[in-house]
Amino acid sequence: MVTRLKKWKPAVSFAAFALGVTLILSNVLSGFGLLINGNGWSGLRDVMQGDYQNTSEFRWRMSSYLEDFLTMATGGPVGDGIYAYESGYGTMVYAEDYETPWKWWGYHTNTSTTAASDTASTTTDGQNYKEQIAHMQEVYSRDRNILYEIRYEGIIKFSNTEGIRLDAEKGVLPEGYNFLLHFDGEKVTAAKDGKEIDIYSDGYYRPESDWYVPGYRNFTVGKEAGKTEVTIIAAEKPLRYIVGNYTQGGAEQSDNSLYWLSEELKDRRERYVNIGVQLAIGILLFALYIYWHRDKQQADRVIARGTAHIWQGVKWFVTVAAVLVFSLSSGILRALYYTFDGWGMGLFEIATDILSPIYYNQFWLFIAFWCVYLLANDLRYTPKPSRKYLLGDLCVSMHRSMLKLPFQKRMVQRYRNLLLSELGLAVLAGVTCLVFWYWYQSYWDEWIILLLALVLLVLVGVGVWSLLVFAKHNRAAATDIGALCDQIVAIRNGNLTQPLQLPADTDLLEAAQSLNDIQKGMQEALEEQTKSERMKVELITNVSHDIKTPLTSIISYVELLNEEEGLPAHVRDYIRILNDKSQRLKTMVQDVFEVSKAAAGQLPVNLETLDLGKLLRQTLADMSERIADSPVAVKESIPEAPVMIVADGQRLYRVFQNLLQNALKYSLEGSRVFVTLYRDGRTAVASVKNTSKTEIAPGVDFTERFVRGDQSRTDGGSGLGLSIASNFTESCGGQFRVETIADLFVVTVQFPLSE
Amino acid sequence: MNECVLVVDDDAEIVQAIAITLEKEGYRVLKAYDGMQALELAAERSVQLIIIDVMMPRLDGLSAVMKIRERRNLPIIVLSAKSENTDKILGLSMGADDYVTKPFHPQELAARVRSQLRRYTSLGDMNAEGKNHEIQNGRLCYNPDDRVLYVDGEAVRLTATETKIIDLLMRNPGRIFPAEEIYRRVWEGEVYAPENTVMVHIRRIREKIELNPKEPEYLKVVWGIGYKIEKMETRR
Repeated sequence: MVTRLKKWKPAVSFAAFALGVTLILSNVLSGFGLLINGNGWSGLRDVMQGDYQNTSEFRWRMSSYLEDFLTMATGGPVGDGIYAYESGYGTMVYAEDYETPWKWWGYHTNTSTTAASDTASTTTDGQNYKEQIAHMQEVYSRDRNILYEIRYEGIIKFSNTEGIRLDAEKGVLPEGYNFLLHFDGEKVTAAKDGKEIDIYSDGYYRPESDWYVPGYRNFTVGKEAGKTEVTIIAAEKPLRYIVGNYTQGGAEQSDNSLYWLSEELKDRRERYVNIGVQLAIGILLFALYIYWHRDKQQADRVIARGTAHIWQGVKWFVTVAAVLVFSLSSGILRALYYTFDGWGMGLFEIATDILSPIYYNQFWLFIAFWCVYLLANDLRYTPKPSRKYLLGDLCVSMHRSMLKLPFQKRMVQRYRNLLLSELGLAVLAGVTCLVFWYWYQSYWDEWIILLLALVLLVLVGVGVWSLLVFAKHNRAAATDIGALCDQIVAIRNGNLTQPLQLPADTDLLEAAQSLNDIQKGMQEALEEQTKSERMKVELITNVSHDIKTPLTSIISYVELLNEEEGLPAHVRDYIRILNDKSQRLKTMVQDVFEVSKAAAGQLPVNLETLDLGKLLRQTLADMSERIADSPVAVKESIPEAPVMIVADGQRLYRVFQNLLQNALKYSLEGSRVFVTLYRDGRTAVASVKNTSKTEIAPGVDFTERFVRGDQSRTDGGSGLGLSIASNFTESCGGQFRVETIADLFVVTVQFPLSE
Repeated sequence: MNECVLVVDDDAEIVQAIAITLEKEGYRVLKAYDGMQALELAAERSVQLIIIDVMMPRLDGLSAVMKIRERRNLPIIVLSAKSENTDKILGLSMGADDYVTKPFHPQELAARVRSQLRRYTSLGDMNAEGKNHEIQNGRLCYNPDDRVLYVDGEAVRLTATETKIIDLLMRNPGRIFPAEEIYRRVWEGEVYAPENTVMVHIRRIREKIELNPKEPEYLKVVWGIGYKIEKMETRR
């Protein structure tokens, strides 16, 4: 039970809030409307009276009767009275009788006076008071709520007593009547239920005085009126008197002023009570809401969750529209304008001016109020990131649909969209200009030009905005393309660890991701390769170490054998072969070890600045004996001037040593080996050229390990000469190239010149 | 010559081959097959030189060298299958006097043994005499006054040109001389094709002073720059 209540508490508290606010607002407005329509505070005082005869309305009515009767008696023009009475309504005005506030409003401010003067002027023009007076007598006499006797110079001139005697002096009134007003030609006396009423108070008439009747010291009557004596008695409970005047087309109401007065009072009293009760309920509900305001906040949150699904733009539009419709339809702006236009009104009047238009537009007020409330509630409880924007959503959905297209189509479509929107705007601007031109021709009004300028400004603004959006997209795309290009260059330069980071909404997301995948694949392949290379080197290192130990024994014992004396010649020959081959094995093991290290990039290099020309000369000098012993001649072309490069001298010596050894070994007998060095721009180019003894097989990569021109392995080399030369050159930072032109074998070694 | 050499290697055949070669040279040979044995023998017997392999069971060569060095100051030659410079430097820094990579030639090893022993026995005398003018550099010792070069304490016969070259290089150990400079200062004439001339003489000198002329330790070519005599760290 308790939990169920808890569950419903938010809803209940919100309902209390909503109902409370509605009741308070509508009833305050209704109450105020009633108040201002019912003569303000004095009207409220009248309503509080149980007896209609105690009200100011009644007093004023009675004074009015007296005034009219005096006028009738003296034969003067009948005043404003007839104008109002003829309708059958009293001086009291029902709010509902006037559909628009203007009528009521205008009536109270201007119309009544002008209408009165109009009536006066027409009657003056007509010059027929008698007719009017007769008409008044007819209207009044039928209203049995008042009985009157009008004497002029002691003779009864008008009366509706129909034989009932009105004895003013004795104060005895007929059945059903309890109020008596008597004018004796100078002063007025009044009695209610036989009790005399003080009319003149201190004897001076003031605007706030209860009775507007002659007899005050500052309100006396003329000679004619002095001859008049009027006696009026009023019914205790007024009735409605109707005469069936069927010859004239229907039932006709009599004056019935007092009846309407009392009815209206009763009616207003009921309304006030009604409003009071509703207001009390509203306040109670509001208090309930304040007591449960935490639960109501929960309800607000639930509502905000609901309204969060609506786009912000729509919410704002609806709210602004509701407020606009309310303020325009209620004329509150106009009322405000007049209120603050320096008319110098009292607070009550200002409140009247402002509240009354609201009162007549309660429907729109509530619509506007709840719209504003929901919007404010939404803004309060929906955090910025989860707000939905129509334009944003449109852009996102458009963007999403565009992302499905390939990049180039997207670009083209974006440009086409821009073009179309600009074109559309231009057409719209043209049409607007034409429309305004026709309009201007027919109306000749300056503000049309102003409006046109405003519309064009908006159109131009939209155009510029879409251009800017396009430019922004373009710039983002350009930046991303730039980043992509840079990344491609970086990958080519060997940066395989830094992936390309582009914003998630970029047009090039797919391309960037693909590139990152390629980079990752390359990185993995490279790692795999490095790993396998390292394993290979490790394997070779271990194997070469393992070979070296037995090789030591072989070499040692071959040496011991060699030292034996008295061996036959053929055994010596065997020993020589053993010696040669074991030495070759030693070289091979060392070469294999070095080339595998160099190929894996694990060869330590000691870089220094050296003269490549000198290095070549030294190498040639070092090998001069072998060159002299060989069947080929070496032709050198090395500049005297130093050719400085940065390299590891020891390694580079091995490079050229190997190249020369190869050249000496594989050259055609009697041919020449050319060793040249020259500068080519910022590069030192050294080359060794020789003519091969045998035909060179085409398409062989001579720098591959164990590759030789003749593909056989019977000669002295390990088959690693070129491979070592190539690998050593590259570990020193040079370039190694082998070219074959027919039988010409050209090896080129290039190094950047060092200054 | 009855110096005792301790040969240590886990490969018995290698020990045997070295022993035969050394015994032919007139040395007494003690054999051990692991580090622990070597330590025991070195402690018990009078040993003048140790040849020790690096990779051995029980106690490896380098650790054994360090332990022996704690008590004895005698020449130690380390044998190793590793030929890289870093390994060589490591071995020498552990207290070895020489480092020979496998596979080696027994004759070369014998020459190194001879060299080490000669230095070990004769060096003490030279230091005692304290000849100030002599330039000591590893196995080499040069007396600039009478222009004589001693290798392992033994005077080397050099031609006049070779003596001039040695004079220049030994006075400035470690300094690199371009061929042109050597030529100018030795031949004192117009420089023409100096590289070949200088190289020929360098090769001849190597034959006289290097233990293995194909892998020179002292007289070195600095490729692309010139020639120098390596400046050796003298341990003792």
